[in-house]
Amino acid sequence: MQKLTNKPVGTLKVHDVSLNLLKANDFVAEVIRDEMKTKNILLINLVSSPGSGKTALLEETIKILKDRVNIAVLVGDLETERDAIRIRKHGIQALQIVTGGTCHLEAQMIKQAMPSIDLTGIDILFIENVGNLVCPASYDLGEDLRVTLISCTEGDDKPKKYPSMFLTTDIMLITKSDLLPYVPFSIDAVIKDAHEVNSKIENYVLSSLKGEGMDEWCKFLVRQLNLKRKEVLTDAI
Amino acid sequence: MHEVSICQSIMNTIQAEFEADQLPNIREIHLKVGILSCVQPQILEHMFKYMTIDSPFKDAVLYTENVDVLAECENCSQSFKVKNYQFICPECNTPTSKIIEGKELEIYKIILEEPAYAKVDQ
Repeated sequence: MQKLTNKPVGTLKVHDVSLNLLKANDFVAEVIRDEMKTKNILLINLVSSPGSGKTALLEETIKILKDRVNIAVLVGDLETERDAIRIRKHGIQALQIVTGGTCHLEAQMIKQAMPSIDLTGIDILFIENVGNLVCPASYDLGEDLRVTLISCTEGDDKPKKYPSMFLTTDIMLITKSDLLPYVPFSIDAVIKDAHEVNSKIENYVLSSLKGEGMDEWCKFLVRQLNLKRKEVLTDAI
Repeated sequence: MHEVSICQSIMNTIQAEFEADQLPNIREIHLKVGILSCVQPQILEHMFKYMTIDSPFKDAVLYTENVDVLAECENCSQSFKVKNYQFICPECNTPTSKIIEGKELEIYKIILEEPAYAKVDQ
């Protein structure tokens, strides 16, 4: 008679590895960055909490720059096409990315959306990220600039509460400045906190509704666009 | 919801690195989670258990290790632990953006069980 000895032992083998979980995202982000460089497009990633005024800012920016700068918008939300519809009313291309519950946009989603938008002649492509100050921080979308909005009704303590976002932010926009007289919000405090996290952050104070500060913001965009073009030209030489 | 994406990335990343027939033999996955990665390690470990039930990873357990934030001064090259998210050198008071540790989301160890073949005794 045969006797089976099924010993419950195998060999445990340890594999020392170094696998970065965001490697796939970062790879796609670089592909997008290269593509934007070839096409001479300034890519801006707009992030903030829900309701800070990302869409309102885009609408007003479009009104001011429409005749001089060609703008297109990719907008991410969990559900609905409402933001894209709002933006399309201003006569520019806007594509809604419905994430279906995902709390952030990933580089792959942007890459997949690109062929659905006509990028010929576009100067600035805005990505309006999902309203969330946490998860979008970790995902590079291949952008030239990450712009973070804080509305003054949210409170001036955000940079220290959401440090990862401010670590990766280039520009901080303090929005809804027309409400500053009515809310306990200190511009000095928010800038001080933001600079403790990231000393390189530049900031603008504006109101999309009343127009205050919008000229400076639009001038900044045009300056960045010219800078990018010069860079592309210099690289080509 | 962020942790769902990360769980999916763990599976995709390992699938890209190992042969398909090796996957069911994975017993332990060790992950470094930097404080700045915005991921909650306990939620991730828990979620991994449920997300892998019907996958080749069903016998694998995810272990996480927290990594504190370590920065280096751009002026005096002193490295320091960042407290209260103040990226300012405690020695010379210079702001820094050089982060050495704390952003990790990295699998650093995988333990595989190589099956012992049943021996037949005469």
